[in-house]
Amino acid sequence: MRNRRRTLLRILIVVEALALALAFGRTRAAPDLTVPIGEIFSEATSFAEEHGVFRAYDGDGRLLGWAASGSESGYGGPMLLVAGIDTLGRVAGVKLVEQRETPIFWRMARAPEYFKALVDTPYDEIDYDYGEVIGVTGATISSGAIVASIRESVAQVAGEAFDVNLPLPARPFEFGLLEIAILILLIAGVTAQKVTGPTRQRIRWASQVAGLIVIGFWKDSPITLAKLAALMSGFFPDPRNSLAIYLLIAGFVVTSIAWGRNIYCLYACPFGAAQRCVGLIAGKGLKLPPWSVRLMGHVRNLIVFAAIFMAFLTLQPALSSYEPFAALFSLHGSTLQWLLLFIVLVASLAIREPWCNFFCPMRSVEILLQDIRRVFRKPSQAKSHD
Amino acid sequence: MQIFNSGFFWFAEGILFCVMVLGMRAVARDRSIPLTWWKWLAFGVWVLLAGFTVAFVGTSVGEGEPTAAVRGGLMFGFVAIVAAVVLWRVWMIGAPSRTTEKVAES
Amino acid sequence: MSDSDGGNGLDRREFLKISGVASAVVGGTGLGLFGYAAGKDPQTYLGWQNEEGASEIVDHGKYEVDKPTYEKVGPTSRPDARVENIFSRRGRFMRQYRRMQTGAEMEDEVLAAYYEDHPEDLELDRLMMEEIYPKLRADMEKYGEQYLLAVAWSDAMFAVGPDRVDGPPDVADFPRPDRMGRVPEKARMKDPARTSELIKKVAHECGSTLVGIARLNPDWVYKHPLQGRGFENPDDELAIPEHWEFAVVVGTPMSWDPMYANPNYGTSSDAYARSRVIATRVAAFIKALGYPARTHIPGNSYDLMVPPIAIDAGMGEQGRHGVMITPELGCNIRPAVITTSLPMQTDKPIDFGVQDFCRYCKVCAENCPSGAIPFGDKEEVRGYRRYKIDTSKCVNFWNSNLGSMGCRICIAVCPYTRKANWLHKLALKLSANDPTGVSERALTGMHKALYEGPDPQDYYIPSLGGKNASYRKPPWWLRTEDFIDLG
Repeated sequence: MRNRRRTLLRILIVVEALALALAFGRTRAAPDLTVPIGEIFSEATSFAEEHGVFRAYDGDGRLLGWAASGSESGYGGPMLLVAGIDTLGRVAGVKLVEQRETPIFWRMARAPEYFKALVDTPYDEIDYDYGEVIGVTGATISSGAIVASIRESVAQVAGEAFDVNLPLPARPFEFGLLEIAILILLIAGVTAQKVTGPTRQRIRWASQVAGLIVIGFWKDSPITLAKLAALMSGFFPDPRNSLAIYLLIAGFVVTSIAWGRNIYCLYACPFGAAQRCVGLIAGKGLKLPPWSVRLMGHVRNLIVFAAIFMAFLTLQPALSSYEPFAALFSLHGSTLQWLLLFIVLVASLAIREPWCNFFCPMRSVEILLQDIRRVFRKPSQAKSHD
Repeated sequence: MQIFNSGFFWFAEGILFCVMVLGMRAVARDRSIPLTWWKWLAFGVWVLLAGFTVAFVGTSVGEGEPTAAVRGGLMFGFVAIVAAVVLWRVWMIGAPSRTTEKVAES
Repeated sequence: MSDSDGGNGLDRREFLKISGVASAVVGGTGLGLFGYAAGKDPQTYLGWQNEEGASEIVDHGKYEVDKPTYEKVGPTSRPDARVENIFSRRGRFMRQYRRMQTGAEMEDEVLAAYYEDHPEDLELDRLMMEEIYPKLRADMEKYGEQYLLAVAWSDAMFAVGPDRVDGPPDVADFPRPDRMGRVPEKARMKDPARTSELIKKVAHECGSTLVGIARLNPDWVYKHPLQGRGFENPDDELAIPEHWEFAVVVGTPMSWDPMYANPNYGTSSDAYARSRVIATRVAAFIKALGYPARTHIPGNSYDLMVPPIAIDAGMGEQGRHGVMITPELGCNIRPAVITTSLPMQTDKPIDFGVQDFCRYCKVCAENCPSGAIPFGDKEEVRGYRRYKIDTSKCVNFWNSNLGSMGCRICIAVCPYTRKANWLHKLALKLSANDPTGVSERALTGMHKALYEGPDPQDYYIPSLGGKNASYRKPPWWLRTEDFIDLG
């Protein structure tokens, strides 16, 4: 009973600290859009807003043009940008006001050049083919968000200033091989709960290897701290193009709470699979003394807590991700992430699941969910986890 | 640095490699590990791989690419370590397990 | 277990004896071959290694193909250098700029017509004058001193150069009379193949790192001559003379360490200066044999476009960045051309996998600060399908740099531009001989992971939002602060 109360206290402290951080992050004032609009129309001295569309006037009260903001969810949350259209109906400028993408994306993205190239283009002739213009392969969500935000703001101005209805393109649900594969893996995980022994092991191996190939090397889209923290900050990516992450996180959360162990980690996580494959090469691993595992678990929990705390405080979830997944699956990473990847993979030759035990943020989240489950279940039903 | 471009360097490397082979053979004898051509082939491949890793790091440092040296060293180093484990397991094929070693030797 | 292998009738001692004799024979022969190689080794020609062929580290024969790897797709035409050669156009633009500022009509009709079709280039040309130059001037005051040694070195390399071509082809290309007033007669060459060998050897002896020979495709010749080439009126059409039958292409690399420290520490002048001297010497040699010869040398003293001719001559292939990629030097080569009628056997173009590699790699496009290099597919340009770079954007960036000016980042970051050590030679062999495309992907992925550069935006000067970054650190001898007290 006392144990239960302690768990509850721990949960409350963690959740409340995070909620405070998030609340603080969220209280920051919305950016003043007249600043970027003033940069677009450098002669503007006054602005008037109607239906979300700003008019910019110069000192003599002459109308210089219109501007509106557009906001679309990228990888780490919504970005906010402003597009200005001059009185001739040509783009006067585009300014990025807020963004939450990874530094590596901006390093490769050609966004500044794209914005420059748009200037003086008639508002109805803008080239929205982002693959060409922004040019970061494999970052379609981030690139797409830039383009969609511009489209949104231009459409607003067109409607308000020129009475032209620029239809936003219909965005269909993207339900591809990745989503099908994830569904199959989750179903395999659920099915495996119904069987025991070698059959379950066989299902697990098959689905993990499939996850390694599809979610890992092919699509490089495992759950990351960035994606999870973005969701928890209330930045919901458009489900039409990010269905995969919803499926994975739903599978993770639901089974963690329902069963205590979750099917994502066991049946879908590509990094866990990579670790197991490496472990298989070496054969039987060492078993670490339980106290050391527990100690390292606490250290990991602290790291993860700090990372999420910072993600909430700064509202920059993408910066909190320390996982070396991309280094393994698409060779993107900082030298530190390479080092972490090396240490984890070499360690997994000797010990079981070093990433999950010592580093993985999802394990910490899983433990939190397990704690919640234990607290809210009748004591007699609650099974203790190790 | 001149010595590394000379024939003598490779001659010495060759001798060291032969000594390595002799050492491996002695270890195999002591442990009654049966030796086959494919074990030696695996050994040769591993030596190339490990040698590549070390030479890659050296070359990258030498040409002024420290980041490449570190990241490449980690990347290829991991592959070499895994390969070493695989090599060890390949070598142990057909070897008597530790407990029965003494019996097998007699 | 025992060592002897008595089963197959050859006992251990016999085996050792035979091996001993065999070893003596093989070892002895090896020593003899070693001696021969040591005596012939081009590396022993100290100071003249390349002249002896030490730079010819790739056998082009393995990669020879009948047609070059760019495609002819439509009716072709010659380039209008007056506006399509960026330096020529910028020159004309500068002469008109003042007029245009006052709002007056442009005097230069050719330029006006071009801007009519390409308003974006007018914008970019104006941007240079109105934004980039003023900002560069301010930043040069602030940060220029840092690059003093780089500038000094660049100046030193360019201090000596040959005279430019000083007349139209029918005069300037032909041998001049000697002291006795005799005009040399055309030497009776025995065999075009032998002549090729001779000219290539002479080009090497003159210092060229690579040499190639092609039949001149008239599509590469400018429709109008550039300024300073000895033509009376640069607006008259350039009639291609009959004696521009062959093109000898020579070229040398820029010094490697400064090249990796582009844009601010590098220079083009070292390789430019060497290539123009070599081309002028080779032309003089050909003229002395009684044949006409005309040089087309950097910077911007050409009647033709050089890179496609070098590609025709089998020296390399065009890359995504529009620069020729050679198997020996990557893109680190600055070529020059000699046009002549001396009968020679031409080289075949080569295909060592660059087209497949560039389609996938895109490292240059990702790292180009100006956004001039396309991420997309090839385009049709005057009837040929190839990558088309935006020269206005390109030149705007490279005019905005400190140091000795220029950019060359695409050359420095290209995976093919690597020093000729075992590692990069191995990678080249892999990509050149793998038809599956697997090695291209693997090598590109590794290149991006291992050889990161700064954020492209950081290459700009601070006034244009950058940090004066360079791709790699400068070599010790170009670090001004280590030798000179900076104010």
